[in-house]
Amino acid sequence: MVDTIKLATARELAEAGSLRETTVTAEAGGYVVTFALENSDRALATKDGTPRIFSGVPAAARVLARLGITRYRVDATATAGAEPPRRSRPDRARVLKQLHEDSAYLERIREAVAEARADSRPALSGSDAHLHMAALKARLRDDLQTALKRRSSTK
Amino acid sequence: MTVAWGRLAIEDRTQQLVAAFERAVALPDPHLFIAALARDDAIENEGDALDGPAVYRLDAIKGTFVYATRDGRYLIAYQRNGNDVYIDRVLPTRGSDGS
Repeated sequence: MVDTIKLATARELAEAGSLRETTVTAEAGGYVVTFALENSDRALATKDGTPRIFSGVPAAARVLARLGITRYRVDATATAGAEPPRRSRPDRARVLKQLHEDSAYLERIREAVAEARADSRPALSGSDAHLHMAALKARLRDDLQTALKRRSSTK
Repeated sequence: MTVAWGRLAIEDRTQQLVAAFERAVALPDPHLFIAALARDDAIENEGDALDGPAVYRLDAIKGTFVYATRDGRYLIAYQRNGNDVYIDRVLPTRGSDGS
């Protein structure tokens, strides 16, 4: 796993002149920006620390320009010079999908809790709940045995 | 220090047991039901222990605390008043159908 660097840190290093070389590298899903530092190489990261994937060189160039970096190398070795399939910020799309799923799940919890709060039936104490569930489990256990016996006898 | 189980929380637990029962009959494989029994025992034990230290409070839902069961399959949503706990729901965690 490549070490990463966040945009804010990259900006500070760029301003300090500590970025020795910048490379925009083609990968299967897009382009990754890598900075050569004094002792290591670091990939530009998303907010969650994973390498940020750009849809194309121009998209990477726009971000680099904001860091004041206008000279960089493009390495297309991995794709043999071909353009990686264009996708709009696949990493971002993943994050958005996750956020959407999180909010949908949260909404389901919210609705389920609201339903419970609107329920006027009295709650069961811990011991009553235990007795209730124990009776249910015993009944289901018996029903299962009966059902499985019936199935095996009909074979 | 008390723990009360809301009726819908009981129904949530019942639903997971009945679903496992139906799968166990359909396959047929009694182990599916045995595993569900063990899961429900764990839910009950962990739920009954929620009157101990307070755990994660979900600010997105006012007054609701959430607890993820140790196996990561269920989320217990509950209210807390001092050390008195009222369990509202027992829901599958995201990405888990609970089975």
